[in-house]
Amino acid sequence: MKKRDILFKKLTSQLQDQEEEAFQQWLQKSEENSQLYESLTLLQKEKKEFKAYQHLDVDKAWKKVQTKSKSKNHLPLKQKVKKKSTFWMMVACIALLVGSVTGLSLFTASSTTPIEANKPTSIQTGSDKAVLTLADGTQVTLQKGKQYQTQSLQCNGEQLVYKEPVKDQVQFNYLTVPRGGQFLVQLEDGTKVWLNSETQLKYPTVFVPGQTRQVSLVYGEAYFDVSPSENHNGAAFVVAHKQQLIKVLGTEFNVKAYKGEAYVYTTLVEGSVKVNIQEKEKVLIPNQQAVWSLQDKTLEMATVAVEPEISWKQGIFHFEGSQLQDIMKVLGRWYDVDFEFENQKLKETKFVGLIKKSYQIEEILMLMKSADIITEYKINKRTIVLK
Amino acid sequence: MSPLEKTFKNHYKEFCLLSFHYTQDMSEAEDVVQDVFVKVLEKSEDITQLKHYLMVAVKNASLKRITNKYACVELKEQSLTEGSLFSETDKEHAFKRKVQLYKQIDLLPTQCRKIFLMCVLEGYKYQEVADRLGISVNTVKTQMKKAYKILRIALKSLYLLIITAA
Repeated sequence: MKKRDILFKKLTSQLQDQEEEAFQQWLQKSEENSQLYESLTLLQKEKKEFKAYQHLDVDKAWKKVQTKSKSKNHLPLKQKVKKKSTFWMMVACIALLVGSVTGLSLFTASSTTPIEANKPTSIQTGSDKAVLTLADGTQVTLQKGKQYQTQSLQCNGEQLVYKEPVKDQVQFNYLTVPRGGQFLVQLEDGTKVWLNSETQLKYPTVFVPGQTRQVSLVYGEAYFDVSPSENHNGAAFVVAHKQQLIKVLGTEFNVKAYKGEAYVYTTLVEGSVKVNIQEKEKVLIPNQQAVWSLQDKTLEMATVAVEPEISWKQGIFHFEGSQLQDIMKVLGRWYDVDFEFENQKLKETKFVGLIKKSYQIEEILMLMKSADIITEYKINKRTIVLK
Repeated sequence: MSPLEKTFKNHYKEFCLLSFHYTQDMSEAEDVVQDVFVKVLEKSEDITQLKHYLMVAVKNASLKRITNKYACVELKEQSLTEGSLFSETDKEHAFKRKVQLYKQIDLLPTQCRKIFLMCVLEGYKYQEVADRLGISVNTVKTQMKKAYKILRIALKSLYLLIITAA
């Protein structure tokens, strides 16, 4: 039989059992043969994708780009929508949309005895909450549904806003978000800071005009949308964490510096920042991340996909090939639980995926079970054992 | 032709494949890629390493699109070829190979490509292809032989390219 016939037969599943050996021989005969076979089986597997690819019309697409670009240019210049202010609204929309369509139905469909909504579970989904420590040491608990107001600040239970100062006396406040919490604070200069679970931020209640505006991320993770320097007589904004200083001139970025972790990550979304640790200094451009190793004392830079880094702020955990143990660390902070692995190998298995923060922990565990990621789980107070 | 237009014309389909990798929907992918180009057109500043920049931009825009669209619990194990055994560079190579394979098939002479795809992709037998196209079985065989030959050469240089580039 001719060689190419044997390849064709194999590809179209017409190969007889007794011909299999001949095919294997052909396959092993040269690297080219195996490359050809590998490529063509790949092509068959991706039939739909390849067909869609074939139908792409480059010229038509280019014309579309030009039309889109032109129609945009005709809009007034400052029409750029400030999307950040609508974040919480988006979160609400996503939660509504997805909750009603995908997730919940999937959940109930896969479980024979659906858990009733009112069944009391000891583990709560995270929510908007934080503790505000005033300059005199007074502690105020902030949480959803609770209003709090003083002369210089007001809080609606979801976000804390500092207003124009009554007197120019610089005092420091701390905002501490516990495990299972998140919070948004707007500082006196208009800078917005989203705080993730288990995070503490120290900041002055008033910024002295013309002087560097400095805040400290004591620990945890925060997303900064910094009010531009040009609105503050050129005063730079600095985020300090231990020896690391991030110098900013109006931009958006994420800093991750959890307690007990070996690295501090600074990810730039927009604008430009300078990361400085003693004599080391790196300038980041968007999509770049500075990684400071606390052990090795090194400061490295990498280009990263920004979205997974900052999606927590939009109510979603986004993992791109993270190890399960790291995923569980993130979930642990949000649900205030600890995870234990019975199967050590499972710890290092990598996953991609999205998890909505509004889910109950048991919904996530059930889904992981039905996807065969874990075989069983056991909840013991605040500890969850994965098998 | 501006450098941007040139990059678009040469690599549009590749950008779409990259976005498809995340969005799993070609019209969504086209939308993402076009939006990225619209944004870059507006910037009007010179970008060095334009293609690399665009690849990263397309990837980010795609991730953003799926985050907004399917914000649901969907934690899935990375497919076997992407597991912990393989590094990020392996994934990149697999993607490059796919792009090249698709490109090479695109470059096959029209008749040759048509016959090749009917056989390999649609699973028609030689005789069926001959009947449908009103040609002889021999012509089908000759064209298949031609397609294999071209792809074989293209693949060989492609594998070499990736190995040396690694």
